[in-house]
Amino acid sequence: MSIGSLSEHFQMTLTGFRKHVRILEEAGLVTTEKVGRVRHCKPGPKRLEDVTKWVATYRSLLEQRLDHLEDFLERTKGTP
Amino acid sequence: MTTQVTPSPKALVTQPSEREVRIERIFNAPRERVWKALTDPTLVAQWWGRGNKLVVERMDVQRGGHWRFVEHSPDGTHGFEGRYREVKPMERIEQTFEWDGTPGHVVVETMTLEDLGDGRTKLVNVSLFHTPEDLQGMVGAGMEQGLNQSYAALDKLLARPN
Repeated sequence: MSIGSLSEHFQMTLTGFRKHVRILEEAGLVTTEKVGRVRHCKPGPKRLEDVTKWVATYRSLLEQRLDHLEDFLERTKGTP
Repeated sequence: MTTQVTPSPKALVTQPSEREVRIERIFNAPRERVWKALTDPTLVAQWWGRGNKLVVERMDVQRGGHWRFVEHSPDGTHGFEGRYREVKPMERIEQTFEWDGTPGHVVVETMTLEDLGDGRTKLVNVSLFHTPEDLQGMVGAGMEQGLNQSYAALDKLLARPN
């Protein structure tokens, strides 16, 4: 399944979704393969039952928070 | 466990061991502003919830002080809390982190700020999990609940034949 069509099932931007897929790929939960101009995604060697799942989830949450902190700092620039 | 390194223009994530996650980020803001964003409840409420409504129920930023945040996301309400173990103004916060969904399973988070001298600030966050068995416990207790709904949904989607 392509990353684009997968992302339609989640309430997040395509860029944000790609980031999640990258984290899941590093954790071995999914693998991706580029066919032509489209990147496809399929289950990886590790299953979600793995301990890695929690670490990946926690990491993703933490990274999302830091993304929002960054946005916050950008939009409040010039304030003390 | 092998070390995973993810270089990107602004972030560096490593997993030094199966008990630790280390995230390094550079913010284009002076250290005073980053510190304030991390420690002022009215500012925390504006970013910590990842775009979701966040209620800061308690935030007593001093050693031993209690913090409790409640995030109202589309998949439900999630409470997070802990205590500050060490607070060194402008430099370092060490705190415990627990999610209501897995009470008693504590992650120790250490955030350090470094002034890069050019108006930017480096934040390093190291999260230490108790034991690998503890992680297993968190997984067992937490996966069916809302926090990880997205991942479960993704897993389902990916398991479908193309």
